[in-house]
Amino acid sequence: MENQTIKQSKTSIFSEEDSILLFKDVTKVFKSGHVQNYALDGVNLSLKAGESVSIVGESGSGKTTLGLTAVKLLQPSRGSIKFEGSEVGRIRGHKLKEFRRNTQMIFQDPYSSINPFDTIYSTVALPLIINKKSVEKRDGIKLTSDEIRRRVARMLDKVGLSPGESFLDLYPKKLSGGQRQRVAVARALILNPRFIVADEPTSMLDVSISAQVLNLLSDLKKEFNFSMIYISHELATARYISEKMAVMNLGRIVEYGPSELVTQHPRHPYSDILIKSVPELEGLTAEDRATSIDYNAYNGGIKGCTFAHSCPFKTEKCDEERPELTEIEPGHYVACFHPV
Amino acid sequence: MSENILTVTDLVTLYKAESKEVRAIRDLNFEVRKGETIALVGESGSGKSTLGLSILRLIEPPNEISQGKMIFNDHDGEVSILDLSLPEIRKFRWKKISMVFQSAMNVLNPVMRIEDQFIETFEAHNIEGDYSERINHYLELAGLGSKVRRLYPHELSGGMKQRVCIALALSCEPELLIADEPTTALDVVVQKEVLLELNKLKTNLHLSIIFITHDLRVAASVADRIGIFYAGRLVELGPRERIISNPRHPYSKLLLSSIITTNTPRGKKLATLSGSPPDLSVEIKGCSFYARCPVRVDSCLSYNLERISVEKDHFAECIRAKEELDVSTAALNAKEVN
Repeated sequence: MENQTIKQSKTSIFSEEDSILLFKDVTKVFKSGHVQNYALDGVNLSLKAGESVSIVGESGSGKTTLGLTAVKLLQPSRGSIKFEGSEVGRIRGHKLKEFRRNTQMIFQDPYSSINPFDTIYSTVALPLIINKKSVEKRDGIKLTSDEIRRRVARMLDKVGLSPGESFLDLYPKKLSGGQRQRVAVARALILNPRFIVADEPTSMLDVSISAQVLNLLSDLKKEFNFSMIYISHELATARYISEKMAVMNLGRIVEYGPSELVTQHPRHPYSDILIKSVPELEGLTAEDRATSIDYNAYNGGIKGCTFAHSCPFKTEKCDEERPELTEIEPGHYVACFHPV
Repeated sequence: MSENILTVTDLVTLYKAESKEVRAIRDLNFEVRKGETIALVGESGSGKSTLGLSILRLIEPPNEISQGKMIFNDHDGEVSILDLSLPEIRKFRWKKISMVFQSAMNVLNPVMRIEDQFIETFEAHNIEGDYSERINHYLELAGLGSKVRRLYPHELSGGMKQRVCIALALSCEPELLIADEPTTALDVVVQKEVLLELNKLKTNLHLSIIFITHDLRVAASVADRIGIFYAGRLVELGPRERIISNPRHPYSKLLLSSIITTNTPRGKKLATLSGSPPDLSVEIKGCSFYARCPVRVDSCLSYNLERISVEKDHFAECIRAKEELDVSTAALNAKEVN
C-alpha cells in the first residue's frame, strides 16, 4: 500500500490541470511466443491544449505505439490515458464517436494512407459525412451536399491545394507525394479536431517538399489551435515544429522538456548521443567519433535503466533501479542517475 | 596518366514505356578524381540512382544508355565501360567498380550465412587464396567482428547489414565504390557510424567514392566535392565548402534553405520550391529549372546550358550564376503573390 502511494507521487510529475491528454504509467506489451516486448514501459506524459510535443527516438523506441494508443487505435496493457478528463479506454458509443471527431491522425506514408479508388473529394468529405448530424448541431447549419463540397474545397485551399475545386474530382494517382500528404492533412483537419497525432508525416517526402508540409503544419496549428503529438526520428525538424520534446529509448521517455533546452543542452546520455549524431551542414570534424549503441543487449522488461548497457556513465545502481523522470531545472525532466 | 578514375561524357540514359521515352540522364558530363568522394545530391526522380546503375551497366532493356562515353582509368590502363562485352562487364563489376545499395535488407540473401555470401562473390570473380582470412579482413575493415560470419542476415541489425554490404562491396578490391543512399534506411546514430567508417575506408584504401544521397547534410559529412542533380543533369558542381556556403544555382540555394538544422530559428518560414520537376519525356528548351525558378529571366529559355564557371573548380548551369541573388526571399515573396 505504501509502495502504491510512492508510485502515485512519482507519476504525477505532469499536472493534470489544463492538460488535454494525460498518460499515466502507460505500458504496452507485445507478446510473440515467450518473448515480451515492452513497446511502452511506464510512460508519463501530458499535453496542454494548443501545445505541441515532439516524440523523438530511434526505430523501435515505441514512439509510434505511443501515438497509436493516444488516439485509441491500440489499447495499453496497463496504465491510464485521459483525454479531456475522460478515461480513453472506457469511452464507448456516441462518446467514442465524439472522441474520434476530436482526435485525428496523419500517417507516415501518403501512398498507403489514402484509398486509391476514392477521389480527393470523397477522401476529405468522408469524416464530414460520417459525422454529419453532430457537425450540423455544432455549427448550426445544414450540411447539404453543396455545403460539404464547398467546405472540402475550402479546406483543400487551406492546405495549399489551390484552387481546391480543381482537385475535388481527381484520384490520388494524379498527385505527387507532397500533394497526397496535404490531402491527408486536409482529411485530418476537416472536422476541426482538438488533437492530432502526426506520425513522421514528412519522412517519405523530398527535402523541399517536406519543408512545405512543415510550413503548412505550423501555419495550420496557429490557425486552428489544435494540440499535436509530432512523432519523428528527425531531431532537427522535431525541434523546429514543437515547443516541447520527449526523447524515447526502448519504450520509456528518458528526457522531456522545452525543445530548445533538450536539443541544445541534452542531459540524458542517450539524448546526448542522439543529438550529436544528427548530420549538420558543417560536416564531420576530426573529433567526431562513432558512438555505438549495443542494440542486441536488450531483451525486454528491464529492471534498471534501459540505456545502461551502452551508457558511458553507468554505475551499479543503473542496473538495479529504474530512474524516474525528475525535474532537473524548471520544465526539464530527465530519467537518469548521472545526468550529463 | 590521368588523375581521373572515371570520366563520363555526354551520357544519355533512356527509360522506355509504351509510347514514351523518358530521358532520365540528359547529356551528363563529369569526372571522378582518384581518391576523392564526390557526392551527388538530388531529389527523387532527378536521375541520381539511374546514374549509378548506368555506370555499372545495370540498365535493363528496353531501357538503354543511348549515347555517351564512360572511361575508367586505373593502373591497368583505360577501359571504355560501354564497349565492354557482357562477360567482360561481369568481370569488371565488383573488381573495378562496386556498389552499395540503399536497402541492405533486400540485397543480402536471407537463406545464406554471411560467409557464404562472401565465398559466392569470390568464386564468381575467380579470386584465389585463403577465403577465410579474406572474409575476416573485410568484415574487420567495415567494423564488424568475425562472429558475424556464421550468422544469417536476419540475425543482424540494419546497421550491421549495411556494413556487411560495404564489406562485400570492398571484398574484390575495387578502385571505385558507388554508394547509393547507403544510410537512408538507418537511424541517426548508426548513420553516423557508417559515414565515419566510409571516410576511414576512403583514406586507408585510397578508394574513390561516388556517394548518392538526397540529404545535403549527409553529403557534407563525406564529400570532397558536391554535385547537385536536377532533371537528369548536374546543375552545379564544386568543392564541398563552396556548395554549402556559397551555392550559385537557384535550385541549390533553395534546396539548402529548405533544410532544417538544430539551429534553424523556430517559427521561421522556410523558403521552399513550388511546382514540380519537368516532364523528362518531352524536350526541354533552355534551363530545366525555368518553370520553378523565382529569379528566372526570359533569356533562360534560350540558354544553351553552357557551364558557367564561378570560381576555380566550381561551376553552375545558370546564366545568372555570377549575380548576387536573394533566391529565398524571392521564393517567399513569389508565394505571397499567389
